[in-house]
Amino acid sequence: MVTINYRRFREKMESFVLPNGLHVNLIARPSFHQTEGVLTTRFGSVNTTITVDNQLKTYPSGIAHFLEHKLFEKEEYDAFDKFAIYGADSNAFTSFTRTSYLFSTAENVGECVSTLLDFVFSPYFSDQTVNKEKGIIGQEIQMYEDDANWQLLFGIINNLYPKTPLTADIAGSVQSIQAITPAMLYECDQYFYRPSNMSLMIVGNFDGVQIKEIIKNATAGSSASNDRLNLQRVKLAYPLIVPFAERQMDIQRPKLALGIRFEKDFLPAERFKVKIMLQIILEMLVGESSTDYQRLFDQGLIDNSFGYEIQLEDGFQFVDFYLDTSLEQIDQTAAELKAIIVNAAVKLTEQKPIFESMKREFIGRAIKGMNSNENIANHFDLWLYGERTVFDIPAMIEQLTFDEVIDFADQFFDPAELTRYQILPRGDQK
Amino acid sequence: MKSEFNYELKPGIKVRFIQSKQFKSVQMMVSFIHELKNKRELASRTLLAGILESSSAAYPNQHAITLKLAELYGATFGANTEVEGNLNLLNFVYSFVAPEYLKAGQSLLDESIDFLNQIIFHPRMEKGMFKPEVFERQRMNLKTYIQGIVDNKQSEALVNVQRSYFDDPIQQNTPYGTETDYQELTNQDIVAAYDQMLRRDQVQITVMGDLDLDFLKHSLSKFEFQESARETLHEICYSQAVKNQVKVQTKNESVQQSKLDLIYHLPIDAHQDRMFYAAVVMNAFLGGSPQSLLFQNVREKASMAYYAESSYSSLRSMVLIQTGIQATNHDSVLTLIKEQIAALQQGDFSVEQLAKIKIELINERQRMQDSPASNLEQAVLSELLDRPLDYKTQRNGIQAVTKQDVVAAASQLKLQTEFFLKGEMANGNY
Repeated sequence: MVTINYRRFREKMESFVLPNGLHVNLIARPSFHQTEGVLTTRFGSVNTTITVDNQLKTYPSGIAHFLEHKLFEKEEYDAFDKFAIYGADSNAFTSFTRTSYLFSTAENVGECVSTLLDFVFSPYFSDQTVNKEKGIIGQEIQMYEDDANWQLLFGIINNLYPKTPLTADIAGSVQSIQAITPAMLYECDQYFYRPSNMSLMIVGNFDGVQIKEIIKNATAGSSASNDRLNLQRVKLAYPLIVPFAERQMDIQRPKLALGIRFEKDFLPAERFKVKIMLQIILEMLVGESSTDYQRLFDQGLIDNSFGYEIQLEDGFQFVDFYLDTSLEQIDQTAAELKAIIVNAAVKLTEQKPIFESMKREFIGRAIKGMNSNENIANHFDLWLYGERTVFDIPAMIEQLTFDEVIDFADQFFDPAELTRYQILPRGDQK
Repeated sequence: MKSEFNYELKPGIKVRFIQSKQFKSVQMMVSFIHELKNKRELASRTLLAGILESSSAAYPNQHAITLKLAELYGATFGANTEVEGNLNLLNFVYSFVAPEYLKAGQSLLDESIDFLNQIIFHPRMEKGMFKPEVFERQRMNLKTYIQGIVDNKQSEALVNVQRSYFDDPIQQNTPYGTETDYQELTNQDIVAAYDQMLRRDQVQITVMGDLDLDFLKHSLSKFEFQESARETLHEICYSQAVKNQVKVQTKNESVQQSKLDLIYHLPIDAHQDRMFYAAVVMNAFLGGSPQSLLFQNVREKASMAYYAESSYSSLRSMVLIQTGIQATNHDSVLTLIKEQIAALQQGDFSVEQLAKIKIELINERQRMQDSPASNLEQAVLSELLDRPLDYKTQRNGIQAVTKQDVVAAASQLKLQTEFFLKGEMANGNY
């Protein structure tokens, strides 16, 4: 067991690995009322192709998300109901690279921890329950198909990583999920839900001694026998980008997105720093602190709908910029944003006087983020960042120099990797 | 541990200070409260908030404000409006990091009050008017924002069902007013709204954090509030007469997923005691949680909706039901919803089910204590209603609700309005 003390913030984290391989991290915060528990497996929507003992296996798009839905339902009970009896909320989400199961509770933390460890490790799938779920997930997929912002994100991903599993909706398509069977779900469960492929994080108001005991007993039964399995994730291809694409939808205002990707992969320590550097860089380039943001805002080219998102994952990394605009302005706005992105290093040098303020900004944001147990739990990602938490952020920013930020920006923003996607109101295609 | 202090800064300007060490930041909210007289005030006050938020004499644009906030270690600031029954609140929301967590250890309280004072009392004006370009920019931004609301289909259905249900034009157009209002508002209208806000509105200042009371009092006394005759707030709760006829509306659009929204009249408001908690529990039971009848029977069992939920507005005496469904399932979903309500009215549920719902509600309230924003909102609402809304009061109120109470509350539900946003792209796959 390792204890990390964050003295400045009067917080500490305990970490250990169970004999079966499950990674456990605990942050006790007695002044809070609620406790968040998150159990995460490294299995996301992109993991549809793997090799097991050198044998290639391909699964339908949306299988990780489907499995997430189905794990709640058991032969005798529903895990949702069980949490509810303890007064807890439970939920789950699937992203490109991981699936997480969460509870949030103010009472009965011990019972919630054992329920979480129990239901995620006891799969039950039947033809009947799997077929019924196709209806529910089909509705969810259709809802996303109508969601123009979601379509914009996937449009830009299609341009950045054409024909890779990343372009499939996380839930799959109405067609792809029809092919899912209980046998496939059992197989994926066996491959990806091994304790050594998973991590448990608990943050909040709990009795550490009692919780450690519960964790040791709850997972004692789940075997580590599959650990000799030789499972390899097939790496995402890195095809040429599609520089431009567009589509129409039933919307009022056109939507524009620009995306830029970066090939080099990072080690966890590096990635943690890169994420923070990118946040500062983007704020200085196109955030409300930048002179360009104010200029474009004053010209009426961008408004509050403008935003950007950083995706740093194992195997792919990109930044996407998005906004709502008008038909008259869409080309000019795209050109302006493009000019900023491809000249990032020059633009940043012009903004050097605000660098110290930006460091303060992000130190403050990180400290305010410590107000939320949920934020602390969700920010933690063992495989992406190692055992780093929000408590590590302020000191890291304090040490950051302007020169290293500029050097990084120069590498990251490569004009050849920039692409544009847009959604126009129906009938207005240019 | 939390302790509370209440005092009056000047007549009509109340301060509530919640002293607490739980969070690593200090939260503040200055609320200007006004009883709405006509629907245009929704737009004028929203526009006023937008103008004051984005500029001041000392900080002429968004850029200057953002940089000031960054310098104050990422202090968070925003101005917004909300409608609470018959009242409109124009809020200045602000938070800053507690000094002990900053490396330099400096207190940001005085600088923060000075910043807010600049924003509230010294806007960017020219010859008695708001700077024309700021006014125009904010007006256009809000107009396009309002136009864009219908791009989210769930919001579009909500806007329509509420327009159809309410008799009062103010309620019909909450919270932001209409596009036409923004078209017609003049700079002079906003100056008048600002004058009303400064001299006539009631003011509530709410502060939470680890501060010394005398130190805080001293800082707050620097706000340049004028002594003037401030308005009397009559009734926060909106009510309207129940109708015998159900209004039914359908709108066709080329989207995948249809939306069916209903509004029921429920003559129980936040001033009541036992029946108020009965209505809260009844709504949670109907569609306010994953354990609810709508979620379980419409979404889970019948697999007919991706979402099916209800919400009770105790300040408007109504229950809203929102669903996302297949167009072809309209009739079956409507029947299922009515069956769930009938079950509650007839007491066709077990005390165990009721107990689960109550535990869930109590937990939710316990968890709200961990959110700085919820703490402030609850403090303001409690002041407006002049009744305690702290965790213990709410827990006791919810615990006391019996099966008979739920039946009595449900029996007063009267369907008034149905709105159906009919999707014409249903692909008929299931």
